[in-house]
Amino acid sequence: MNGKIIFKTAYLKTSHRALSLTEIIVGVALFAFALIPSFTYLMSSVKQTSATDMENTAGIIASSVLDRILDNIDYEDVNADLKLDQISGITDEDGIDNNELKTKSVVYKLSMDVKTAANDKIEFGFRKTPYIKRQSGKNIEADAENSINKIMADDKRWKSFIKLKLSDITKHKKKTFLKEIILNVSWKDPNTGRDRNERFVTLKANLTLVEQQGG
Amino acid sequence: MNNFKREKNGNHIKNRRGMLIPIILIGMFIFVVFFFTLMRWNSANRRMNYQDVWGRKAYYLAKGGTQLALLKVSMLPTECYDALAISQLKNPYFSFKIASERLANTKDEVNPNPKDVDFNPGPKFLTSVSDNRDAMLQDPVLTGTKDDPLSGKLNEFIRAFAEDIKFSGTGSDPVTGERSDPFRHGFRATKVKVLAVAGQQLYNKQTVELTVKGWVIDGMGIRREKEFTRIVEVERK
Repeated sequence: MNGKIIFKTAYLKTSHRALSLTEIIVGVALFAFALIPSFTYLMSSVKQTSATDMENTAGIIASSVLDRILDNIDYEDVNADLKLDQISGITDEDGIDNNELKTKSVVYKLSMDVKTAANDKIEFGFRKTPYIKRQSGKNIEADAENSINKIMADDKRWKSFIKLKLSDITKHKKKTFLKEIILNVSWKDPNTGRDRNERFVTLKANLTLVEQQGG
Repeated sequence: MNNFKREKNGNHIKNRRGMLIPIILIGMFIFVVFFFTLMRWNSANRRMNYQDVWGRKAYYLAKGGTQLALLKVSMLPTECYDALAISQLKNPYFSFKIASERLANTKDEVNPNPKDVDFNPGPKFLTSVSDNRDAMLQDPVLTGTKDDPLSGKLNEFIRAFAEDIKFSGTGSDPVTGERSDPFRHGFRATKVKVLAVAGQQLYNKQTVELTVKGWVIDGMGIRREKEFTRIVEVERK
């Protein structure tokens, strides 16, 4: 017991002598030497991570909006007036349908440009189905004239290309069938003050109309 | 005894002299390792997210391109069916539905009489007796390769059908369909594959795997591609 007290006393007594002023200065200098650039990098890294996170969030928002537009919203309802923050399904911290989605304290502004393609501007091409000479027999195999080698060798049967305008083949003369959607997600990076934006392009076709009423 | 302990402790304390610098060096080493790790992690994370955003752009081009492809298939189902039938060496005018009904009534599949209700023009296949149909359907020169499923002589009708599944008009490249505003981007149909190849019981329908590839050229000039696939049933009208 006595010995232990002596040990502590000795330690405390001589502990000041263990660190010389030079050692302390050199130690602090080395520590600062490592800390300052590391701290600078840490701060820059935090900013970068935050910027990356915002880019990623913009991508997720765009995905949520575009998936709903392509899969759930009727073609006729797709226009620039859609409340994009409402349809995104993402929790909006401001709670207002204003095409501004506030998430993780950053406001992402959503806007959409919708261009409707005129039916006479959409052209569909195909090769005309080759003429197959009528066979009199009940054979399931082709006569010489109808064999694929013969058909391929005949340019009139094999390479007859046709191009039609959608306006010429549809019975829905007053309807349109294709919209191009450009979704713009923009935000201000609070760390750098820079304006950022990402644009996504896709197409929406009026498939429901064709499925329900034919082309 | 006390002197011995004091001396011993004194030596111990003496040995601790100069310990600060090694401790600081170890601390610095840990700092360096930590920040290098952080730097690498952050760099990889940023690269992944960068790819992710541009990948999403390519993905929605592919998904949008599929909409255009489905519209074309819906508008021109017969032309699509015929192209698919030819790629399988089948006569597009031959009805598998009527053939099936006739077979059920122990009749020949082909009925050349146009006055009959169950008229079914032959041939069933576009191959003659001397042709080895199975070998022809395995020949990559005729039916394409796995890497390029739209290649092959028999797929020329499908290629022609899929050719305009791309951007067209002002601002788009007439060959590739690529556009440069707001960034270089485009899409194309890359695969139109019949899934029920062996089906003799297709009843004039083809189940088709339709794949469209979207691409973007990102801010660093790197091409990012994504594919979107839809299974669609094509019926001859």
